[in-house]
Amino acid sequence: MEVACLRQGLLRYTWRKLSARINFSNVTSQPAFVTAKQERSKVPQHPVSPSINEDLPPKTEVDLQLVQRLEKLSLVDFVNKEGLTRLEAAISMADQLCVVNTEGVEPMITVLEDRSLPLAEDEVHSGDLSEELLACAQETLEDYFVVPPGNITYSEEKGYYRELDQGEEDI
Amino acid sequence: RSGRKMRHQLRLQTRLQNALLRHYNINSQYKPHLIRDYWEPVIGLEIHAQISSISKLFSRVGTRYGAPPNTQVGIFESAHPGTLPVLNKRCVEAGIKTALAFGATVNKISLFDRKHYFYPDLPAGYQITQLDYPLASNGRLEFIVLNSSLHKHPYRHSVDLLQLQLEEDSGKSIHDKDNNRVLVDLNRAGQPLMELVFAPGLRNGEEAAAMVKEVALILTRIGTCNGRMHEGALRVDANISVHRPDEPLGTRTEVKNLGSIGSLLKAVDYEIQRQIDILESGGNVTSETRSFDTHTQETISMRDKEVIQDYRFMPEPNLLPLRLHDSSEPNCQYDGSLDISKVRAKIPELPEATRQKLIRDYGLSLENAFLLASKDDLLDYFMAVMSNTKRSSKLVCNLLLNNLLEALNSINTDITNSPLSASAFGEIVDLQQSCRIVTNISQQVISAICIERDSRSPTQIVLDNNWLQLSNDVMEEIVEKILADNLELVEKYKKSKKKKLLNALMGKINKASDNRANMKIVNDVLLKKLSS
Repeated sequence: MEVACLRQGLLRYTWRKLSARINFSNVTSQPAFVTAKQERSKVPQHPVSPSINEDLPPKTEVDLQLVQRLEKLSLVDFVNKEGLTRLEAAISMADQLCVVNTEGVEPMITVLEDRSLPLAEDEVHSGDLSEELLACAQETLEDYFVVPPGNITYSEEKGYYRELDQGEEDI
Repeated sequence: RSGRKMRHQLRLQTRLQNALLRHYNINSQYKPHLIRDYWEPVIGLEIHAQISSISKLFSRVGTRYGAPPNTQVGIFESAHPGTLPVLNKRCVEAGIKTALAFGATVNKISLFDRKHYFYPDLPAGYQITQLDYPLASNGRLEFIVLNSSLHKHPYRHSVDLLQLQLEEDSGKSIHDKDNNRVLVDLNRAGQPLMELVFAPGLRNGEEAAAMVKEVALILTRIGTCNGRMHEGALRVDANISVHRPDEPLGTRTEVKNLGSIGSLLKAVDYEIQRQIDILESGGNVTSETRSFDTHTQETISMRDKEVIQDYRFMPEPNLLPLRLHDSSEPNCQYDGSLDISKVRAKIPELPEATRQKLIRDYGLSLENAFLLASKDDLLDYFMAVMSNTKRSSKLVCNLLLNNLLEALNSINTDITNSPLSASAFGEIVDLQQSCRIVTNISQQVISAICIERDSRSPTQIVLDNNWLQLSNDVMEEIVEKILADNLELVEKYKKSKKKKLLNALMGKINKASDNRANMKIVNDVLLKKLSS
């Protein structure tokens, strides 16, 4: 009984603190929760597929050259019919956004855009993790990660011929 | 009365400005130098400066140079899933400091972006940089081209700083061609970089070299980067194109991997020449990335001549906007992570201000001011010696820059560890300035203390060795004696007046006087006696 009284007191105390900040003049003195019947729910009761009647941009055709370039840039393999249709469908769905008037509105980067970035002090907190890191790799050599070579530059061939020339001069 | 004071101050100011201008030998109207009177080269530089901080940009892992491979890599740099970036405060301060040193506007809100490309030394597949909203923009760099081979005197030039951004570095790849593999060291991955993007306002290699030298000097002076190009702390990419002055800009190529001022100079000049040769033979310059081969001293193509690389920039979702506030502004809301005015207060005197002070207060030449302002320890030594205001700055400069530096060079020491302290050096200066010793003797005293590690004071050395300058009477006696002993030489000179013969006589007098005679006075006396 005493505990219940204390709890009520605490609730009223916090409520009073809240009400001091928030204007509750338009709220009548009713219990906190309202039944579903009294207020209309925003969640549709049956599935809805809305269609946009306004003009959409023309359907983007994805040709082979573009696909090859996209594959090279993203390293995602999707050169088959299903992948292409899926891509075109995704682009059409995104086209619906063009209907929205965004004039004068800054694009949102993050939901936390009104906060500022926390900065950390310049200190070293972790040391030598080379053993664990190198253990993740398939092939290592003397504490280096070993990877296959990339593009071979033209200078390499040039250097090869230069070496041959020098060899002949020595003889 | 206040009007008169103002006019007086204005007159002093213009006199001072005119004096400085005369010192700098500036032509206010600069006529661009055209190659073969036809082609105008246009060069823009992008400088990547490694911030000297103890930990990396987004993680608290060490940044020490020369550490064993893969020992300074954390879970963030190696792109392990579930890791998030945390921005380094000191790096932001360094960025702000550098921006203010170039007179740039520090943007109160800046954003980070991802730049995607695939390469083994970029574990995440993207680099976190700043594209559209960098840390600072709209600065200006003024510099002096000191030893111009095109224009025979030093001249001023300036370039706009378009933007300054913070970004992280990638790792290092070592190409092992013999075994057809690449070795990757991720120590450098995640290291903090400041990218300084300059406008294309340069016209040849020597301007580019002078500009980079000034940037390195400024960064070293404010302490944000150590400026060591050979360690990779300062990297320069050059964008080069040529065009005819009345036509639009030509296609540009980018030359990367320039690791020294010398390479920059040669690469820029070579590339300009290469593009002119192509255009004059009727061809077109292809837009590509090239690198500089230090062996052949030529630029070579790096990538295939394909479509331009698409970096698929997107905002970095794990980093909030970087907000800064400036408490010196009237309506400051104090809503940022850092206060710009606190950083502004920590900026020391910039090299150009030091040079102007040296020229104005000590009457030094431009070249000497350059030399002194470029090395902090040398400058401190000079100021210590000049604390005695009666000493002649010209004499001090001569003895310091010519004699002392040479002696220190021969024993492989720098000025901070000089066996000859500033006060002892000052003693030598005083002795010479008061005509008690001559320049040759000063040199000998410097050598004695530096090279032979003589621990006596300069005055003691001079007195012990009997090196005081000869009085005029004794000197005249010696001159008379030499003239008497070398009558033949005297006759020859009187007939031909050849300088060689005069120098021979001077040499003999110098030897006879044990290097103690003031050769200027000897010259006058000798000429007087010979003409009689």
